[in-house]
Amino acid sequence: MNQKLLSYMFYGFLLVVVILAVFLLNYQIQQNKHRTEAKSGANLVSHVGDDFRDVDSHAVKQNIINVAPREMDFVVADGEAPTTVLTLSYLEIYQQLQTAKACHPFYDFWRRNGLAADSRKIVRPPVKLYGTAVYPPGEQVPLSAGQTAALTDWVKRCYGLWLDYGVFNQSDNQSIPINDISETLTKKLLATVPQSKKGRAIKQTRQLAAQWQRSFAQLETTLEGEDSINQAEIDAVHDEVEKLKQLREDLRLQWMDVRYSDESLAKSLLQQRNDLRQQIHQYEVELESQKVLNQDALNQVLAGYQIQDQKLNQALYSDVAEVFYEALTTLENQQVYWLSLIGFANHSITTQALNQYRITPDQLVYEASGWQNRWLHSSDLRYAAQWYLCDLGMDCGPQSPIVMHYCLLGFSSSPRACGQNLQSFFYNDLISPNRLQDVLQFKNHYQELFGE
Amino acid sequence: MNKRRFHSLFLLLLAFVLLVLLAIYLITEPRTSDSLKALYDQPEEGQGMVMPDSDVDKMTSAEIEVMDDSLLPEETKAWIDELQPHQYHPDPFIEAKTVTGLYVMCTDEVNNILSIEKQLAERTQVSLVNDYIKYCTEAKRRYPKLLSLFDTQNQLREIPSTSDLGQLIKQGYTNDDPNYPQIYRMSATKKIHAVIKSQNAALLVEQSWVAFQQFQYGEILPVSTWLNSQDMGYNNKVSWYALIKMSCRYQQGVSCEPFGASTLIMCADDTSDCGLDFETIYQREVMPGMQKDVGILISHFDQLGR
Repeated sequence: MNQKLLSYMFYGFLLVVVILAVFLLNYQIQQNKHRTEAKSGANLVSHVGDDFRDVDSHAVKQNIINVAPREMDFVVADGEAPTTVLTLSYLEIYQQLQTAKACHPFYDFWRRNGLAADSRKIVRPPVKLYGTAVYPPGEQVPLSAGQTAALTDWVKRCYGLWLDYGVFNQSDNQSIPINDISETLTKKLLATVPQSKKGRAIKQTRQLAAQWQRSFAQLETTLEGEDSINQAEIDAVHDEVEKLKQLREDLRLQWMDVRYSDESLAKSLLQQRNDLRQQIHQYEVELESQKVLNQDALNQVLAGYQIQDQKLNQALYSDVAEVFYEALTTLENQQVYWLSLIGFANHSITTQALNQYRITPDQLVYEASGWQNRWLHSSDLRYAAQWYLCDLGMDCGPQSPIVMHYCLLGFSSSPRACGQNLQSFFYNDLISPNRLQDVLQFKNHYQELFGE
Repeated sequence: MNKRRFHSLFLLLLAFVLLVLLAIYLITEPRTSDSLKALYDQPEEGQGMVMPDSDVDKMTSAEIEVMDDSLLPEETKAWIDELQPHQYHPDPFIEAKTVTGLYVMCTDEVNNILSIEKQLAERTQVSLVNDYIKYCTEAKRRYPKLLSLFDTQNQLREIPSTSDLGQLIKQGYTNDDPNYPQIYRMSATKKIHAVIKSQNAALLVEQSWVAFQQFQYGEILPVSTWLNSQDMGYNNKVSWYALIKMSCRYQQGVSCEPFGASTLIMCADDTSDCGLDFETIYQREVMPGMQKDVGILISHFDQLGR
């Protein structure tokens, strides 16, 4: 090998080494940058999230366009439905109504944030298991694959229904309907004659439920009593209570400032707050005690309510899941938008007088079990009722509204629920093997009390 | 450049390049998104890591320091004097926490808010009210000042702590900034380890209310895995029962007597529970499946305490 060639080889190698070093240095700087962001505790997740958001929002928008090509300029007059939905049967409209109710959190989100908002924010943060990453409040937690699929599916379904039954304001080119489509669907359902036996049973139960609700509301009003002082006096007391509450809040803030620095002042502020609390309580008691119960009116209303209550309770013996569902949720006085809460009635202490006239199915089941403290086992009762509904034939599949609620919504979402049917999710993930025997005991009581 | 010089230079350069590559490899840790994520999950230095057993041992070994109370305010000294002789722990702060915790339902502070005597009178029989008055009169005779504090938790912080456990409890949840949930979670994990090891009923009861109620921060122990349950509300209830049941073992079971904090709260929830001890209420109210889960957690907590 001659010297010239050796020199070329040497300098060539040197050049390669320099390029390699520059490349490695750049790589190292990039990695260090990532590491600093991660250490600062804020941006790793949003970094991952940003990538996801781009893909997701694009996909969701695309899906909406695919599903709803008539999008923003679609207009129907109030009460009218588009021709595509005119031929639906009673049962089909009923299912649409159930879907619309399940979609309520989506509609609520779009109304508050607009359609362009990141739909992933509808999803509640997942249950925070030991050892998994937790994210600061407000930071978007990455969705699981199952949640992404469920979200995309439900965005399509909810928005599709909105387009079908929404009334849009043409003048300001708004994409948000001005009507509540659950109400529109309810009206449509009322106007539709069911052809099947099942449809007729559902319609009859819904009518009973509406009558029950009216008589229950009447009972509530009657039990509150009638004012024995005039409205001006009542308003004056309310004003005074508001003033005292504001004063109490001011004292709390003052106490927060001085609680460590000035003990005697802190003690005096606490005492003043306590006095105010008692004054407020006194006014509230006065407002309550001035009301007079009209016993004759109560007897009359109560008689009517008891007839309705008996009729609706009869519906619980039905083997049609939808009939049982309508009766159950009405008797529980549930906000049925939150499907995962079905099965336990909140007998608030503030409505104690009213509650003595209301016996809910979960109370009957709990009494049959012979256990004490219904509140302790409230979620066991809920799972049992929901499982019983599944047994009766309610849609509990992976795409069902109730599974969507577990998968995406609730206090914390349960990513493990996505893609499973409700019973599998209960069995595999949500309910411990030991607890299962408690839940199944309640479910058996449902079967014994209401099953055929 | 002759051949020999070229070979020497070449070898030198090669060695240098290898050294540089090795150095870069060693200092550049995160290479994948997984390793970055793992890095994010690590606690920051000095911030409440999940402690290995040996550290927890060290932390709860209650190394008692000698306390110089000459600089303390007179009122604080009076509280410390009232604790003498200590019944539960050599550290005055822990002793004070224990006393006010075990007799929390006799404190002026709680009674100002809950009016327990009045509520009991409205809900239960006279004999039970008399028992409660007698129980609290005895407790207040023994600890008149400590059971009359108006802001117990904050006022107790003025008592110097002489043990590691006391320091840890005294810190409170100082790391409970919601912007740093990971740190909070680890701080809570450290505390629950120490409290279980302490065998102190009052601290166990306090932890039963605080530690597992923080849904937003996530699990502080792998309870969902131990129970095979992802229902956090249920897991919290089971954890609560497990810690209360454990507290019944210590300090002669004071926390589980009919007027203990947990028991009286159950009485408020259901008047038929009033006057009963914790174990009786537990057997009446907790279903068999849940009882088995409570048993599972107690055995895991016991392991943590060993």
